[in-house]
Amino acid sequence: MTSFVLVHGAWGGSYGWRKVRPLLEAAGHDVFTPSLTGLGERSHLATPAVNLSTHIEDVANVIRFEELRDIVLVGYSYGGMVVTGLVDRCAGVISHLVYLDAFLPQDGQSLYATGQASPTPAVENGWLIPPIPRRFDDPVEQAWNDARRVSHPRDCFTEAVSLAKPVEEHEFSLTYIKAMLPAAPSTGPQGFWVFAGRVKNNPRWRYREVDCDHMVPQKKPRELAELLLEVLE
Amino acid sequence: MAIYVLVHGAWHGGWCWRKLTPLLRDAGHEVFTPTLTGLGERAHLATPETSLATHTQDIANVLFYEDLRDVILAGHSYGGMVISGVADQMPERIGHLAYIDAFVPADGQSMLELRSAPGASALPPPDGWRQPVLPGYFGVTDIEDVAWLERNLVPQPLRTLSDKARISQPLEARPFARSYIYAAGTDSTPPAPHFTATYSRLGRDPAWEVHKLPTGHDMMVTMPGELAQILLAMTSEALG
Repeated sequence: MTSFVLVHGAWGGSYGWRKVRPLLEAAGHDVFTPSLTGLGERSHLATPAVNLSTHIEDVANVIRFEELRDIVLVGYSYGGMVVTGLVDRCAGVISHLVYLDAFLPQDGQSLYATGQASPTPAVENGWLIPPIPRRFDDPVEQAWNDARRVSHPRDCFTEAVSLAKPVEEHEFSLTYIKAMLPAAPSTGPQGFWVFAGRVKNNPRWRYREVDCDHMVPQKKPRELAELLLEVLE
Repeated sequence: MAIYVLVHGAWHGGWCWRKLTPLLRDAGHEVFTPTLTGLGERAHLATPETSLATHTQDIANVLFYEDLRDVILAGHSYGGMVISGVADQMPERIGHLAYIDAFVPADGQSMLELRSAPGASALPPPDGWRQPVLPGYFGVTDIEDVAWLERNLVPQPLRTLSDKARISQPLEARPFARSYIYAAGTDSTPPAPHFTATYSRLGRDPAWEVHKLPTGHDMMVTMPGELAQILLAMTSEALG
């Protein structure tokens, strides 16, 4: 049995993984989908002090208090910032690191510094970034998601991540899963293609593609679960 | 398939359900074990302002964001304070409310008032806002389990214990089912007088179903199999 730790993206929450969790559990695994502070079910805890370090601590503490070992750590979208920030602290318990259509920052880069986010974000109350809307075909699903998508504390996007050495120099396996269809509206200048391009031909990485727009966990849960289980093979 | 939301007690975290959750999941059910703000994996978020209302919102938000219905909502110990408030705010999402050796407050009662151990809470916490972990390990005696608790118990924001429960209607006036599961204790781990009194009172009330297990307070640690059987029986009722 493996423990999957799935880290959601900007403006999201644990709820975004609801269709993936049962599929991994049915395969006999433990699944943890913490909501990051200030988002989803933790939206009542949003303050201007919430930053990338808070979110790294959120997930590091799940690993510590649940006493997890041998984990598959998955970062989706902004979650790529969080899982990268966890590497220095938790490398010893990570067996597989997976980026799902995610930011893949280098040492010293913030999300904005990667150059792949919307360059001129709106700001609410001086510290909250309103969500980029996401499209669902079914109006009921659209309304359900819109009711749960909340603004994101700005300093999560401005704080730099630190990495003592590149992720490729660690022992865990590395996977990048790229969503093939364009996000609407666009995530940024080239979306996540820059990161995909960086790893695609690197033998240290397993590179996979999924026929979906950016909202993979909600729109292609079965295909995603299969790709996540594949890393264990 | 039923949905369980398990709310831990004071000083504990979602981690404390680790022996129980596989037993419910293996029976095909969905299980959520959220950690309350300032405790367990959320210890880094503790502030002097962390309140019973914060904890009630923690759980109410899980029910809303995950869009859970017909929930078997269970609270252990202090968790009873929390689930009482959640059930008052969102009765339409609750199928069964289960108290596991837990506090069952009436409107306006705090946990410190309910706990009939004068002196235990009379000392102000050393830092002024966090109650240190109570000695005694909650009825756990197995040496590995004691070590597990020692690693993971953290101080509890005091305000959560002194805040009064807000309950607009008696629980008995609600349509959901109600159960109390009492830890009757063992020779080496006697029951807590407050929970004994609650069990006796609710046992005489036809609006409640009561159970007891011959073990200490942290029965999810000491008797997870037996506790799972009781919780699983609520499922078949919920499904009619």
